[in-house]
Amino acid sequence: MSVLAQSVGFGLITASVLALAAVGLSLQFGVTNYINFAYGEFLTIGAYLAWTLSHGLHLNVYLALVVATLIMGVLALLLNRFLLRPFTKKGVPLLFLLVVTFGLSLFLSNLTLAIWGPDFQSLDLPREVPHAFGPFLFTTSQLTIIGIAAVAMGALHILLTRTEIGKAMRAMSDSVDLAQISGIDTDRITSFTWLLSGCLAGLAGIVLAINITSFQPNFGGEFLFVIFAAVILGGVGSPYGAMLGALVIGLATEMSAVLINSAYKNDVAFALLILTLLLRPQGIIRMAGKAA
Amino acid sequence: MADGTAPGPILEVQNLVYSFGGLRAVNGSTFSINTGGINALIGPNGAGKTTLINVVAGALKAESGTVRFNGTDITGWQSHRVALQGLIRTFQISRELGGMTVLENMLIPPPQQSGENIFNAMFRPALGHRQDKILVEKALARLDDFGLYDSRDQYARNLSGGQKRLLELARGVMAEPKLMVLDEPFAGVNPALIELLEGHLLKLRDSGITFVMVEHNLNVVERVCEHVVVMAEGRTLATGKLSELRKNEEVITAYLGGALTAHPKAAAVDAHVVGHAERAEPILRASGLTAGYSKVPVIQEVDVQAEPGKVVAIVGPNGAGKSTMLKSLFGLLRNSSGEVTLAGTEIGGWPAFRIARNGMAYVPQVINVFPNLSVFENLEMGGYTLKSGRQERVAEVLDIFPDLKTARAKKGGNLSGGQRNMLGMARALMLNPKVVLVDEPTAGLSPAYTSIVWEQILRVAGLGTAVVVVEQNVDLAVNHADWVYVLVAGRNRLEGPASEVGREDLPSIFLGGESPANLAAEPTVRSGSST
Amino acid sequence: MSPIVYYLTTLVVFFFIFAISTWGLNLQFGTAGILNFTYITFFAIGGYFTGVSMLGRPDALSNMRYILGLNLPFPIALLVGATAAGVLGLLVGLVALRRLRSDYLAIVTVSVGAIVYDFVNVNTGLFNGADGIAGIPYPFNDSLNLDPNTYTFFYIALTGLVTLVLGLLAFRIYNSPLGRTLRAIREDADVASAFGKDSYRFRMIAMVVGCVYAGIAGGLLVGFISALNPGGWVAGETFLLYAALLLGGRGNNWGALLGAFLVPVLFQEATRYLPQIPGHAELIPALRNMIVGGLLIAVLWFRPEGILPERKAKFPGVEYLKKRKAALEVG
Repeated sequence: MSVLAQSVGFGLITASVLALAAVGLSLQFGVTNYINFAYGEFLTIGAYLAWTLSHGLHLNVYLALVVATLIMGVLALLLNRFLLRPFTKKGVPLLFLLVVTFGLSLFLSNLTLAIWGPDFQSLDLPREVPHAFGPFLFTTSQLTIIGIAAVAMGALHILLTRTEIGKAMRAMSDSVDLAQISGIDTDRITSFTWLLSGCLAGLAGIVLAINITSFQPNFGGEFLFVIFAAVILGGVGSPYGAMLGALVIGLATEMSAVLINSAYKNDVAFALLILTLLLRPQGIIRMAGKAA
Repeated sequence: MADGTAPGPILEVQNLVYSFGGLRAVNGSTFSINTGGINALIGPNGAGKTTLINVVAGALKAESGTVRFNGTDITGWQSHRVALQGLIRTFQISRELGGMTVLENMLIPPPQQSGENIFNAMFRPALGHRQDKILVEKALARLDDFGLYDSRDQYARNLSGGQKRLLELARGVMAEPKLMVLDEPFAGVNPALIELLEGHLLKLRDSGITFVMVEHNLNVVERVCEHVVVMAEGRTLATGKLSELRKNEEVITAYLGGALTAHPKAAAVDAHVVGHAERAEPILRASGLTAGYSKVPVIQEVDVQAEPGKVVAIVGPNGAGKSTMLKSLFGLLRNSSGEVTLAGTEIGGWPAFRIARNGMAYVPQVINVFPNLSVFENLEMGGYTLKSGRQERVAEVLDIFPDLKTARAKKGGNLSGGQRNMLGMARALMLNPKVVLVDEPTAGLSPAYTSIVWEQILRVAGLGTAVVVVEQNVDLAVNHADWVYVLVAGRNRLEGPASEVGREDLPSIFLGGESPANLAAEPTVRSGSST
Repeated sequence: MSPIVYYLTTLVVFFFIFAISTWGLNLQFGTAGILNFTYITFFAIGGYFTGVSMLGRPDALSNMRYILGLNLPFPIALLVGATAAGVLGLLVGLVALRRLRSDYLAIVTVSVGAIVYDFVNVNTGLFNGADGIAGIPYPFNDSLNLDPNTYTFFYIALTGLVTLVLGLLAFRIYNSPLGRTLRAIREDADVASAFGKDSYRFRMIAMVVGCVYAGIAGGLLVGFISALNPGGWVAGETFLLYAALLLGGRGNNWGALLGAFLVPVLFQEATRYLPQIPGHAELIPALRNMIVGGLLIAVLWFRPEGILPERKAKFPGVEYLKKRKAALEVG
C-alpha cells in the first residue's frame, strides 16, 4: 500500500473530525452572526465527559460517547441562555461579545484543568483490528470516526432540508428579521442551534480524542484555528461549505505531512486560512446576503 | 453665485451603473452639476438616489460609467480619497460618533492635521495642539452658529434627533469641502428646524460650497435649490428648475404613477376625509401611532384602519413615513407608541413573531424572501406555525400564484424581482392571515408585472383578507384600492374612498407648492436668490 | 536583601512591564477597536529577539540552539525585539485589517498565536524550542559590576525610565489628533473614511505601535529574568491583559495603568504564593485563571466602561470660550 494512499486515508479521518467541528461552529455563526471563541473548549469538555463516563462510571464507550455528546449540547444551550443571550439582548457591540466568548474560553479551559487535571488521558475503543479497503488500511476506531462523521453529516443534511426546525435555522441564517415576520420564534431556534452546535462540538472532541490517542485540557483550544480554517475556507455560515472546507483542510494537512514533513501539518492549515482571507474572503461557497 | 454665467461643472456623472444582486439600482445615470449653488437630486422611492451617492462618494464601486469631480476622474476611488479631494457626503440616518463629544466630532473632518502623523503625535505634540487650537476656535464658532455651542462637551449620542441633523451638516463643513453631497438632510426634522437648516445651507452656499442634496421635502427643494435632477428607476429622468419639472409629464408620472390630472381647486392643508362612504367594522385599527428611529419620530399620531375583504392603500410623498407605519404596526420598531388592535385584541408591544401567529402578515419591501431557501421552503417558513396541513396549504397558495408553481424548486435568491415580490406575498398568505401588510409591492417592477401584482392583491382581498398596501404609485392605488390614506410628513393628511381621493389635487400634495395649473398661469418662482 | 524586599522589587519590575503591555493593548483595543487575541505572542517575539540578540553565538557548552546570537548591548537588542514584534504586527495587519468585521481579525490573531507557539516549539533551532533560551546576560551588568541587590534597584530604575517614556508617548498618542482619529474609526469607520481618513492605514499604525509596546515589554522581562520559554507566554496571559484593561478602563491610559496594577500584579501575584494543594499543583493556577475569565465577563456586564472610564477631551485655553463668556457678561 502506497504512502500517499495512506495519507489520503489519514486525510479522510482528519476531515471527518474537522467536519463535525466546523459544521457546528458554522451553523451557530450563521444563526447568531458572531464567532464563538470558546468553541475549542466545547471539544475538550466533550472528550473529558466521555472519558469520565467510560473510565470513571464504566459506561460502555459507545454509550458514553452518546451521553457526553448530549451533555455538551445541553451545556452549550445553558451557556447561551444564561450568558450569551443576556449580552445580545442588551445590545452589546460585536467587539465586546467576542471578548465575552474569549473570556469564556479561558474560564472553561481552566475549569477543565481544575476538574480533570493536567495529565494525558486516552479514550480507546475496544477491539482494534485493521481493515483493508482497496489501497486504504483503517483501524476499527478510524473506521468508527469516519462512520460517525458520515452518519452525522447525513443526519444534518436531513435536518436542514427536511425538518421544520432545520429549515428555520437556514431561514434565520438568511434573515433574522424575515424569520421573525414569518412567525418563527427566533429565540427558540437560537437555543436549538446552540444545543446542536454543542453536540457537534462534543462529538468532534470525542472523535478527535480517539484519533490522537491521548489528550490534555488544552487540546480542543489548540485545534480551534484548524476549525476556523475549514469554516472560512468553506464560506462562513454555510454548513455545506464547512463540510467541504473540512475535507480540503483534512486532505491537505495529512498529505503535506507525508509529502513535506508532519511537523508542518498545522502550518498548511494556517497557510490555507491566510490565502483564503487574502484571495477569496467569502470562501468557496458564498452565502447570499452574508457579509464577507 | 446665483446666475454664475460660466462656472464649469464640479461633478459630472456619466452612464453610472450599480446593481444589488439582480436589481440595477443605478442604471446609466448621467447628469452634471455646476460649481456654486444648491442642487437637488429627487425622485420616487427606489429611484437609486442613495445608491448613487454611495457610488459617487466611493462607498460602493461602480460597475461601469464615470464620475468626474472638478475635472478629475474619481471613478472607483476609495471613499477617503474622494473625501480628500473635497467631496464630502453626509448620511441619511445621522451617523454621529456617539462615544465622542460634539466638539470632538467637529475636529475629525479637517484635512491635513499634522498631529495625525504618528511621529508628530509622539515627538512633536505641540504641533498637533497648536493646530487643534485653531480648529477648536473654528469648530466652536461653527457650533455656536448652528446652536450647538452649549452641547459641545456632550457625548454626541446624547443629542436630540434634530441636533444630530445639525451636527451632521456642521461637521461636514469642517472638512472644508468644495462639494457637499447631503443625503436627506431634512429627514425627520421639525418645521422650526427646517427653516434654520435652510438658512445655514444658503449661508454656506454663499461662502462658496456647492451642494447636491437628496431631498424628499419638495417645499424645501423649491425654496433653496436652483437646479434639480430627477431620478427614476436608476436613470436621470429630467433636469431643470423644479417649477418646470412640476409640469413635466414624465416627472409627474414617475412620482404618481399615472396621468393624474391636476385640479384647479387648491388642496386643503389640514387633515380631512373626503367623500361620505360608510366603512365596515375594522379588523385592524391603529390610533395615535407615533414611531421612529433613535429619537427621530418619523410618524406622529397616525390613525389607520382596515376592514376584511377590502384593500386599503397608503400613499404619500417620499419620506411621509409610510413604510415606518407598517413596521410599527407589525411590532418591528422599538420606539413606538399608540394603540393597535387586531380583531379586538390590543397587540401594541407584542414581538413580531407573536403578531404573525395571531393573524397578521407582513411583506417587507426589500428583503422579502429567504435567498438560500427554495420557493417551496420559503412558503413552508411562511407556514412555520401551522400545526398540520402545511403541505396542503403550500399547494393552495401555489394555486393562487401559478407563476411560482413552476419555480418551486428554485432558490429565492435566484428569482426575478417580480417573482420575489410574489413569493413574499405568497409566504405571507401561508397562515391564512386576517390582515396582510404589503410594503411597496410594485417598486422597481415593469408595468406588465405591476398589474399582475395588483391583481394578486385584489385576489387576496377577495379571500376575505384585509390588505394594507403602501404604494408609491398613486395611480395604481386609486385605481385598485377601496380606501386611500394620504400621509404627508409623518401625519394623516387626507383619506377617503379611492375614487374621491383620486379627484383631489394630488400633484400639489406630492410635488409641493402650488398646483401645476396655477403655476402655468403664474410662472414666477421663489427660490433662494436665483432669479 | 530580605526575601520580602526582593519579592517587592520584583513586583515593581513586573508592574512596569505590565503597564507597558496594557498601554499597548489600550492603543489597539481601547483606542482603535482592534481585537488582538494574541497580544502575548508579540510580547514573546519581542522577548525572544531581545534575548537572542544579547546572547553570543550558540556553542556546545550552552547546549542551546537559537538564531542570531549577536552579543548586542541591551538597548540595541531591545530595539531588535521591538522591531521584530512590530514587523509581525504589520504582517498580521496586512492580512486581517483590510476586512472591517472584528471577527476576522480576531480569528487571524488566534490562529497566528497558535501557529507561532507551535512553530517556536517545533523549530528548536529558532529559540531552543520548548526548553527556551536562558542565561541571557543582565543588561549593563558587565560594565556596572553591581552586586545582585544593587543591580535589582538599577533594573527597577531602568524599566521605570522606559515605562515613563512609553507612558508619556502613550498619553501623547491618545491625546493627539491621531488618537482622536483612531477613536473615530473605532466608533464608525465609514464616517471616518467619509472624512478622508484611510482607516486601514490608521488601524495599521495602532496595530504596529501596540505590538512594538508588547515587544519592548517582552524584552524588558527577558532582561530581568534572563530566560524565556514557551511556558512563559501561554494564551492565558493575553486574557490577563484584557481583564486588566477592561477593569481599569479601556480608552483611558490611567485606567490601563490601574488595571495593570490591580489584575496582573495585585491579584495574580497575591494568589501566586497560595499554598499548593498536595497532588494538585495545577488547581490554584486554574482557579486563578477561571477568576480572570469570569472577571472579564463580569466587567463587561456590570461596568463595561471600567473603573476609570474614557474621558472627554478637554481643550484648555480656548479663546472662543472666553469671548463667549465675556459676551454673556456684557449682554
